[in-house]
Amino acid sequence: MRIEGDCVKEFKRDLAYHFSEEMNHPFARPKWVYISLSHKCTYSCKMCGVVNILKGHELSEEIVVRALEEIASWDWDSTVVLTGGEPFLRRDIFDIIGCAVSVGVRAEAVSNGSLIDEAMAERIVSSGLKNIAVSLDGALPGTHDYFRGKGAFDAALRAVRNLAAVKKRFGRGPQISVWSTIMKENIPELSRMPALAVSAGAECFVMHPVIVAQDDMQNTSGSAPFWPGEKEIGILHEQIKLINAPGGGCGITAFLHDPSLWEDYFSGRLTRRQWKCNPFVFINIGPDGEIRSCGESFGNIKDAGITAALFTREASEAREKMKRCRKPCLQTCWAHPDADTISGLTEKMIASSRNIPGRAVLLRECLAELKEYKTILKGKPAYARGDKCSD
Amino acid sequence: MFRLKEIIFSLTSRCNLKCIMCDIPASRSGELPTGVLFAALEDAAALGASTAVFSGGEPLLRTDIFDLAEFSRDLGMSPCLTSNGCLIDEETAGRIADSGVGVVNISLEGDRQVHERLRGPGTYEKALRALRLLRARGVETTIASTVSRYNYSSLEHIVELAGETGATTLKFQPFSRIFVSPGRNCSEFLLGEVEAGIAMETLRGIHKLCGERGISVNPLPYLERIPAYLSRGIGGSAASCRALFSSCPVDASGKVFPCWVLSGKDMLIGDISLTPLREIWGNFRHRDIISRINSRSCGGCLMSCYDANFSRSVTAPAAGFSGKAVSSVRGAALRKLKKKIMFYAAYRGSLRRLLRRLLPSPPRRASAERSTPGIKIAEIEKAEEMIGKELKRSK
Repeated sequence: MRIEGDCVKEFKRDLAYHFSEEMNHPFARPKWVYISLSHKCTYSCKMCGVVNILKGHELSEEIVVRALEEIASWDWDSTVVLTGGEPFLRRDIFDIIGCAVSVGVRAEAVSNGSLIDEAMAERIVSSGLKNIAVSLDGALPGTHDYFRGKGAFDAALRAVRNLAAVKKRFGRGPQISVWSTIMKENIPELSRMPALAVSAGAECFVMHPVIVAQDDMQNTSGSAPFWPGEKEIGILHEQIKLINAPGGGCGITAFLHDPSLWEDYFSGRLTRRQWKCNPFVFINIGPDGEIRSCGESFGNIKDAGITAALFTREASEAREKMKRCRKPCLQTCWAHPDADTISGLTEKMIASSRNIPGRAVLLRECLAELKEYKTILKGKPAYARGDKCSD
Repeated sequence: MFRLKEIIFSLTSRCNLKCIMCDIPASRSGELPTGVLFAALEDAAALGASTAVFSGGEPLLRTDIFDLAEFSRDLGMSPCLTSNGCLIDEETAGRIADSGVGVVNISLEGDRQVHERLRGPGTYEKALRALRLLRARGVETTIASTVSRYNYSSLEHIVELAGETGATTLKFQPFSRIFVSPGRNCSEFLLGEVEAGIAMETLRGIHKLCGERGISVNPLPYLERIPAYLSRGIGGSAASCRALFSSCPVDASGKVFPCWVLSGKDMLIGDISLTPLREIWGNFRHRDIISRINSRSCGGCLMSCYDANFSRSVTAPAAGFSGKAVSSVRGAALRKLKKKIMFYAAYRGSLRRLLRRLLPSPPRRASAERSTPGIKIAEIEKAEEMIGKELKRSK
């Protein structure tokens, strides 16, 4: 059910993202904050470079807690995704989750499932996490184990089963998701994965295409490993059809974007018109504390915190670089295409606010918001009026 | 783009009749629980729908039909019922009137002989009784007729009946394959060339007669297409079909399709028993299917939902581009019009492509350097204007 004024809140947010991108100034706060808690992992997967690149780094609990408090202070409905390495290798992981819950930040976690036995599942389910994602990269044990090591497939499925069983017993708990990376080797199995996930007890199944090297996000050349060739792209097309067919997604498959974009992405035809990334939507904090939206780091949470880093000149330069990037990569830092024009946003708001009582007040609120941006635009220098969103 | 105007539920595949031109009861698909339908109605109202159509099978076989009608009325939509009329006795007519149903469509195929041959003995009197009872209780009634080889010559009789029973509207629709099971030979319903000629004369006559008597009927260009559709299979095109963007058919088991004709497996947009309607309507699969229909064009149909948009989308451009209109305009305006006609001819297959050519394209904006504060301010002012208009309207 839509809450009164929700659409106005959404409109204000979309406007903030729009103008942030337009003026390269952080009016908006990130929607997604990925915190890579540790470089340590139980596996050394073939397609992941974290273990090697960030060797020896781990964020201390104190720093993570400070970051979570800062994120809570934004009042921006941001989601914190705890990743790693393997986040459940940390002894203090449940303290961190507990802190996020207590300061009111929506927390999610990504795991390979290797450590989630029954006892761990109980702790996860009762921790207050909103979503727990287990990675599964194939519908057959051989495929998944090829990427991740022997026994990984069984471990991942066991983790999902444990979580589902405990959640059923407790009657509440996080959404149990299965995340899958689309790679050359597992493309023929994609359409079988939703059924597998459902049978294990998952409630959501998400696929995203592989980025080749974590340290160089733009290296998506066709010769890279895991990158599908022409033949595999053809198979992918068929697999998407199967998943889109009635019952093919088993009712749990969620798409972050139109899956037909995957074919263009893998064949190198994806353009910025189809895919628009907004550097303000997503930030990633590495185990070394470095903050980046995509590519280059522009600050460290150990220094002055996330908000301060967003306002630095380095951040502005990194965002400029992202804007010039001509290789869209279909990752989370996506701004929805109707956020492209102000009139598009306004139309959406007007349409969704219809039938809401007291609409005139809400519309006036939107007018005031637009007016504020107009004053900022008219003022000189153009965007030196300071942080509009800071409390 | 996707403004929901009308949601159409096929509430059940059960029916109390066994009409020879309809195999829907044989499909025996399941039925949705009332709660799911309530939720879908709520979503439809939130999406802006103004009409909720309950059809079937025979919707009056469902016990919760009056609850559904009342619920949609309370949501501000106008409920509309499609029935064969056989179950409407005095009590039911009263309940229909009380539950706020705006319009009831009663199917009537022609004179007694034709109607009972198509729908079974005793059905003619019952349908007429339903029309009279409803009219007596102030419910607006529409007579819906399926034009086929069986009744093309006795359609004029329906105009008489409309006058007699007080029905305000006549709706003609050609027989369509979508009501019969796939693979069935339909030639008994289709017209030959000579019969098509007669049907054309009859339908033109009906249009004139209705005009004289103040009964509303489908627009003439639509009626004129029916014989060609039944004899040669030439239907309307997807390019002029607004129903794709504005009406949402939901079948008895809850599946949502872009339209009744395109209800194949690969056209499934979603299932309201699994996903809320608000997440189905306008989702990427919906957009994808519509763009597929637009690029490859559908087989064409003359369904009544198509007719509802007919006068605006098909006759309007034709009238605007008639020879007379062109010759009366000179100079630059003439050239402009001619250009438009050329575009129209070239892009008739795809409304979207046509629009893209006709409308000025938005300024390209690839990087920050291209957009200056001036452009942005203009954009903001445009948005302010939009909100201002909306404010005025809501006052």
